[in-house]
Amino acid sequence: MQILFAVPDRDLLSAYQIILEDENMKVRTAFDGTQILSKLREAPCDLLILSDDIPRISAPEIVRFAKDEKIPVLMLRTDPDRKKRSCLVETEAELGLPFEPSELLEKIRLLEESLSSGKSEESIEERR
Amino acid sequence: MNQAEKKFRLYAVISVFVLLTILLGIMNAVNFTLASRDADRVTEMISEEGERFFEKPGMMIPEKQPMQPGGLGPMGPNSPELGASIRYFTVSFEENEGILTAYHIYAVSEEEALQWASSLQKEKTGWTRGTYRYRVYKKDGVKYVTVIDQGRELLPAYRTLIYSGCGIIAVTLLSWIFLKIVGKKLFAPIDEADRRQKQFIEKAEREFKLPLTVISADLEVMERESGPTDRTRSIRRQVRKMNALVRKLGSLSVYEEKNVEKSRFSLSGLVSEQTEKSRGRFEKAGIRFSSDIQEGIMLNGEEDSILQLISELFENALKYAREEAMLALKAENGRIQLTMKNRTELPEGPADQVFDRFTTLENAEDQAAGLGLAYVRDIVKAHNGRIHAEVKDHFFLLVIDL
Repeated sequence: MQILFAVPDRDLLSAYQIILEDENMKVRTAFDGTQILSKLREAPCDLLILSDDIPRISAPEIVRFAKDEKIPVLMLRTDPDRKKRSCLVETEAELGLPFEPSELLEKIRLLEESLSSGKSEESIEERR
Repeated sequence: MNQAEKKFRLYAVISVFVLLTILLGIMNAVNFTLASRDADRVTEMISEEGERFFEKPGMMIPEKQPMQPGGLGPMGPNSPELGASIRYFTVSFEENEGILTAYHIYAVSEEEALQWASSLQKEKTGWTRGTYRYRVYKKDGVKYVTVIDQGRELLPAYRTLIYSGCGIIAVTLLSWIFLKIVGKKLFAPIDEADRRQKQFIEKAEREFKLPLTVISADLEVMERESGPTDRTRSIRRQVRKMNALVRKLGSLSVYEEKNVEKSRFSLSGLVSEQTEKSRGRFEKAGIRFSSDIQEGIMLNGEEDSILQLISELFENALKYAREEAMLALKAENGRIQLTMKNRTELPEGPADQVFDRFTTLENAEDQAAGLGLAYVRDIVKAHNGRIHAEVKDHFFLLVIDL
């Protein structure tokens, strides 16, 4: 699986690059919105893991772009406030900070399964 | 507009109302008491003087005296004009036969006067028909009933009573309006402090989240590269504790707002679903878990937070219940009751302090931040419900009424 991992923290990026590659995934990283777009233009990916506080280009815009390119998005939420969340775009899956690697890996696995079987993870995730 | 301001306004206005009512109430009571006393003095004078009362000027001043310059003129029963101004009638009763012995009144006919006096024979003194004062007395073996008209004397007292009432209402309303206008200014510093506190919690929460995530990730990398050790396991446990704390802090600050988006959903369904999901965990922990869920109970509330409430109840049970835990959901007359019973070794008695933040009843081991039940209480309050905790018959009981 080709993953583009985009969070505005270098430590997090480097740690997850190692973890995800260890799980046999191909990983590219991006630090801000413009990097995300340029990397996606170079080559598409199977999954975009995006933090909602990404700088330079807002997360909703990136999500819209990803939707157009038919790239599923796993949103990393830094804000638990429902009201603020509801003005952001719905994505195929989301995970709230703070999270442990096992939680992220589980999410990716679930997403992979549901994408390969055709239905959106939203219906499974809605309950949470 | 915050809760503190509303409460303050309410209590302030109630105090104003109560104080005014007491004050003016006493004043009016004294007024009417004095009016009664004055009237009694007159009936007493009549009882002593009989028919001569009507012709004779007031007892206090036997001769006409020159008027004193300045000051007030004579008032009430002390006035020399009393005899000429008082309107009354007296009926004597000898062997139950009533005879009108004095009749100086206009509003009542002679027959009426006789009937009226008959009806008052049994009493001693008092007010009759609102503005008439009467006295029953015996003189030379004959019973007399005297009724005097006090309508004109009472008018000021009644006016005062009505004005007092209107005054109380007016002042209460005015104070409400005044406080509403002034309230915002008064509470601005409190609102500001509140806002800052919230901002701080939100900021702190944000500042913790990313570092915790990074530490988790780095830990994972270390374990993959060099294998897990006791130290890495210990770090992981600590990070988990902090993660849980941060998540709860965040939810708590949201809950203090008390703004809840409500919708109607099946509470029975939600509880049943969560119960089934958690059964496995109870089994693993060696706790016998049973549930008694009434079907078809609907609730108007925020589904997400109720779900968290239930999940928190289960977490609490998993942590503290010894051998046995029970969940019951029932509804009666529109009141819903959710009860969680965990077998415990705690002492009997009320246990409402569990809802205070950062309080745990037992020797808390890992993962107990003492926030869980405070969170539960906030959710219950946001749904206008009540929650109560106690230890009874070796069971820790959590009762939620919605």
